[in-house]
Amino acid sequence: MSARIASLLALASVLLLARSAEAQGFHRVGDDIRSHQDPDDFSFEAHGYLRARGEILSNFDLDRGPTPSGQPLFPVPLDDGQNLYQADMRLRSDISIYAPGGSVAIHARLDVLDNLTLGSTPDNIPSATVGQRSLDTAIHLRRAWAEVLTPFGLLTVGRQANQWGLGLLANGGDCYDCDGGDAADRIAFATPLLGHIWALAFDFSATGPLATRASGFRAVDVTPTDDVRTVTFAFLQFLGEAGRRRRHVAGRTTFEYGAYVSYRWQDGDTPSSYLPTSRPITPTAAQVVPRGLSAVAADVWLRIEHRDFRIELEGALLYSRIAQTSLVPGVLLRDAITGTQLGGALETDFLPREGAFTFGLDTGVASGDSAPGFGAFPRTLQASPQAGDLDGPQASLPYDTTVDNFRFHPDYRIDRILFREIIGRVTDAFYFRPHARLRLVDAPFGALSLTAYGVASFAMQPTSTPSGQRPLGIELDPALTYESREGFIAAVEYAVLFPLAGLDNPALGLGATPAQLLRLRLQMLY
Amino acid sequence: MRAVATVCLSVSCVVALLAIAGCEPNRTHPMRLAWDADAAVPPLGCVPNLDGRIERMELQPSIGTPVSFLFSPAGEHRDVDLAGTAIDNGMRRWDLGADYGTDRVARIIAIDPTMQWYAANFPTAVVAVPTDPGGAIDALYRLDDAGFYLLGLASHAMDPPEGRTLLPYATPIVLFQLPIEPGRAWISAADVSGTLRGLPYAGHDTYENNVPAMGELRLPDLTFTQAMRVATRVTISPSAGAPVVRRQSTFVFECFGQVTSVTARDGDDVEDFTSAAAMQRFGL
Repeated sequence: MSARIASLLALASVLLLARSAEAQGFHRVGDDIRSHQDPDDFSFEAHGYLRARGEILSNFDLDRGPTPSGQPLFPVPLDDGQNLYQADMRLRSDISIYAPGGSVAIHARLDVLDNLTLGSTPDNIPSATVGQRSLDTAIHLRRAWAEVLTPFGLLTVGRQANQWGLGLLANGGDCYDCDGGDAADRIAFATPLLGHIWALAFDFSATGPLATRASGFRAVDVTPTDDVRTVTFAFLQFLGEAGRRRRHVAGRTTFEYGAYVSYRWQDGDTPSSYLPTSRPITPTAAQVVPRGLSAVAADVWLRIEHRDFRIELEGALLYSRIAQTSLVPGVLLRDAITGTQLGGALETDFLPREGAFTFGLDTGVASGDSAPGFGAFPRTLQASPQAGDLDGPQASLPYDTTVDNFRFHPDYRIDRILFREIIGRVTDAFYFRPHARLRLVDAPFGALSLTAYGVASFAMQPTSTPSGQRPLGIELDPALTYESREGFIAAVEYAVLFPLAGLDNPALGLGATPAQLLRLRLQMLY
Repeated sequence: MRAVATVCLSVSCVVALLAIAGCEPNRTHPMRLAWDADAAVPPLGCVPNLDGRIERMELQPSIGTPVSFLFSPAGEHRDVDLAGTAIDNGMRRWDLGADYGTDRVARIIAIDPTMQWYAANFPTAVVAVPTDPGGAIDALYRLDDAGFYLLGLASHAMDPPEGRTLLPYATPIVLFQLPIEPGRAWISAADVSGTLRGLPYAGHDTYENNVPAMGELRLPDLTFTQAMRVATRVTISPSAGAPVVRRQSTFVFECFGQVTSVTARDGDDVEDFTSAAAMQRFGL
């Protein structure tokens, strides 16, 4: 059971690193409702895209052998060689229904064949397939929420997007190349006052276990004490893209900003309802364990835009404490676990964005934890990582009771290989990212642009890297993108990562070697 | 358009580079394991249901899983309160959570007895567990619906420097009569004969057990909220020599098995003895 006990700590990592209540797109205070205020107007709108991506991933394991836990840094080809090939697709639809009168709107997001690997569902053995099977879960309802415009402000209810600022912490996954995205089961109220938007949100972050009612149609939460709830208070000065454009044309400087603070709590927990077990378990009253989770998140976002530049900054501070981290009913651990995490990102663009050439410098930092591994995606019941491992829980009772690595949202992308694919997200690191864009063709039918950026990255805590060294890598990421006026995007993206000493394998005497990526992305918008 | 052509040429070069790179052998390959992100996270085989009793399914040995125990050093005596204090619902609270600087941490790993040299002497054994921090002597156990049995002892190595030990009981000793719940009592006795550290040994052991209470057991790193205390009085009667009485209290928890054992000095024949000659406590 020692491994089990050690893995109890995984909860600490999961909980401490979970984002506290982030404000969703509070800036969208009824904008779309106001444009549908005709009393007789019942309207339906749908937007979205079909995206297909194909890519070659070359040497993503960096040829540096496995970590002490026996895992390569990235899946390696089982049939030898260096290259992995992947093609996937997604059909996304954002649907809005506006009731007559213009005060009620219903929104939903549907993803069909979401990130489905092309050819992954043959209807027979691979050599005999004549088609692809239909999937039972081919359609994913990501969001469904309503907006009601009241005399006092905007009320939103349902599963809605969770986006704030640059998307460092709360990211709705709305970008064309995003893979995931946050959604919150939330009731929120936002109102404009004194030139700002003020918002208050209550999130049903986790509820259960559930029991079915007599009718069989609905359920009821049978352990209220284990619910996770979050409240968020936010205010912001936000003009949006249309407002920026107006001011941009007028040569005015646009200054936008916002901040939120959220508090999340959980008194008890019923781990037997969600633990991976070899046989089904029916939770009992005795299996409700104390938890004592409290977490505070504070986030500040600033954006200054002028005709010749854009400077955008987001910084966040998270403090969490879990009084009891045990996942096993009847076992109480002595030590609490705390997390103090700090992260920030700065983005800049210079020269007019409608010009042929722009450039800028981005930078960011995410606090680290001295435990082995980056702690990017710690899993429940996962054993503590060994020195040299790439990932793993960052707390290890009774010796290590802190989880201090700040984790950027996986859809906040700064590169194409190291953080996006190998580590999975920015954490325990700082980076510098110069970038430039050159518009090669700007014609009535569309535009062709060449973009390029370089990323130099370093670990905050050298003990987190596979080799114990701070430098991680230099990555170059050029891309050629064509965007038609009719909603077609084709992008050819390349990346090469030159790994530095932090990714070497001193235990095996193997130095990390460069990895490359080539990706074609086709996107049809509607 | 020259720029476009340059870009297209660059892309072509990149594709060619990737193609060339793809033909090289993978240096990770010789040590490669198949990628399985969940490989290190096997599902739990048992989750305590805290129903006030310990049944067979909650006492399944976990072979190969290392468990940390804090062992008291030989010759050091410690004050203990095995009577504990009363808390709610007839439960007791035992505070064995004192940190001792002289404790030593040992990783105990239950092993498969069928792979050991003594397998033929214990054909029904399902698990072997080291009895000491050094792992010199293994205890052999069997489990069924009615109980958890001690089958005997054997040295881990067939011929260690101190001499071979092989002491099978003529009939299994019932260590725990299942289900374990407060109020239960049982007696189990058996003849034992064989070799002890290379010397012949024969005797008769009698185990008198009862479960006086269940309750909260506090240890240095963690607390078990519903541990069963099993009090045992062992009478060791060698065929040559005077019998010895040894008292022991074992704390057992669902899915974890024995999490603490406290042994009295030989001859201290009191169930709630207050001075321990040996302590073995679960740790992290």
